[in-house]
Amino acid sequence: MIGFYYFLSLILVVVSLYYFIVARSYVKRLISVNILGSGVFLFFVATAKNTTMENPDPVPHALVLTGIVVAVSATAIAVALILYLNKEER
Amino acid sequence: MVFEVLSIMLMFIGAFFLLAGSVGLLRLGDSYSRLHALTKADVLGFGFIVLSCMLSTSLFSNWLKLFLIWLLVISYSALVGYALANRKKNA
Amino acid sequence: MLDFALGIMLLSSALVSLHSKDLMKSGVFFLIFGFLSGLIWVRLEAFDVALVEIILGSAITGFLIFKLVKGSKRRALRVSAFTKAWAGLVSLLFFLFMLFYLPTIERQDRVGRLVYENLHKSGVESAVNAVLLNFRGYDTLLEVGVITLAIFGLLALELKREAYHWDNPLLQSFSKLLLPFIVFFSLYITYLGTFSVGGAFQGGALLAGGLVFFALAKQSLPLKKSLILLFMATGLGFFSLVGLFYALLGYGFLTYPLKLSTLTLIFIELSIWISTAFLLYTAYKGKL
Repeated sequence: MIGFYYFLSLILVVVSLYYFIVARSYVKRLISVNILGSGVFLFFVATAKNTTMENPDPVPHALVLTGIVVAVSATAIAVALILYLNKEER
Repeated sequence: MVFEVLSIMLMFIGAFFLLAGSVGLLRLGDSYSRLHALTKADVLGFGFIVLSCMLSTSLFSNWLKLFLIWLLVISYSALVGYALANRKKNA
Repeated sequence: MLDFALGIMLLSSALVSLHSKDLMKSGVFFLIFGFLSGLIWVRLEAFDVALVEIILGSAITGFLIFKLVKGSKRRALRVSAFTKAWAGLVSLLFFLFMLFYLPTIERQDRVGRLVYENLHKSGVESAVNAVLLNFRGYDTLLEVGVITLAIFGLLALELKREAYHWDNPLLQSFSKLLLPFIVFFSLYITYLGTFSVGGAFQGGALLAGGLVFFALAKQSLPLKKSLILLFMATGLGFFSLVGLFYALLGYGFLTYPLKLSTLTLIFIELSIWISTAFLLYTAYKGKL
């Protein structure tokens, strides 16, 4: 089961990496960065489960938790910058 | 034992109503009837699932939490149904 | 079986979101993607992560993307055939490399056992919060610093655009009715972090969701702007002051004495709770 999640995270990262480079609008690029991040988080959380203990490893969970919050604030500032760019070009 | 069987039966009934709601969402003709199918089946199916969860636990605090979740979800369901229908009407 | 179904749904929503020409459609499918990944975190027993992902990763990011779609002009960036070729090549090489690397990851105990062995020294009973606030306190302090700086940088842009909202009496009264309950519930989640699933970021995310819902109904909080700014800076300020205080007492930066650690961590959690909530609320609104 862990192998399936590893494979899923790999597919998500590769596909969103490709779309991040070839996307034609900023919105799509932002979405693909977010999906890339989710793929990496999936790898981390699956690694947390890949242990011989009965409970999953809490350290990757804490890292992913902080990662999600940082990703949201990065998205917020990216949105503000893109809107600012539109305002400048007008 | 009796409670477990009852809980599983209620879970199946709830799942059936949710499935009916999803089929209605996919197959019905216009937006209003789709919305109708979705919100109605949501309330009923979710109610059965909450009831089944209540039967499978014996802590009073868990009952209270499940009841609050049920209350929140039905009020949200009504609000979302109203919002979508209103948006469709004014569009 | 459930894992496979969820995984396939996750992948297809991601593909639709990435490939669709309609930007609003890709935003909606991104919301669905976030929700499904929250369900996958539950399957992988990462309940704290699931709570944060569903509120922040799905809902608030989705609203931010909707705001961007509404506000940005449709202007195509130029992408040449050469760019497509090298993008495909890089992705393919990465895929092949990871395909051979991933099976070599072994099933082993990493630092997790160390955390559970030293849990009684941390002051909280929840392992995730022990790591977050005590064992890797530097990480969390700098992360709070990063989000604080990001949102203050956003405020520095001085955008005038209104956030996406819907002016409707039913929605307004419902959000007014709901807000006190959300504040109470998020405090409960924050307090729960000392011994179970929950904690500062989870509670803060929940409160931020409630405040965003409040803003979505075109209502503003009856708080002064200076108070909101103070709330936003509380987390970074209080956390670093506590670290400095214990450093001056001789315990070391962000090292808490054993007897006082629970009390200290509860106060730090409260400060991070309020600042996360107001930072993300401001991130959604884009201005004070």
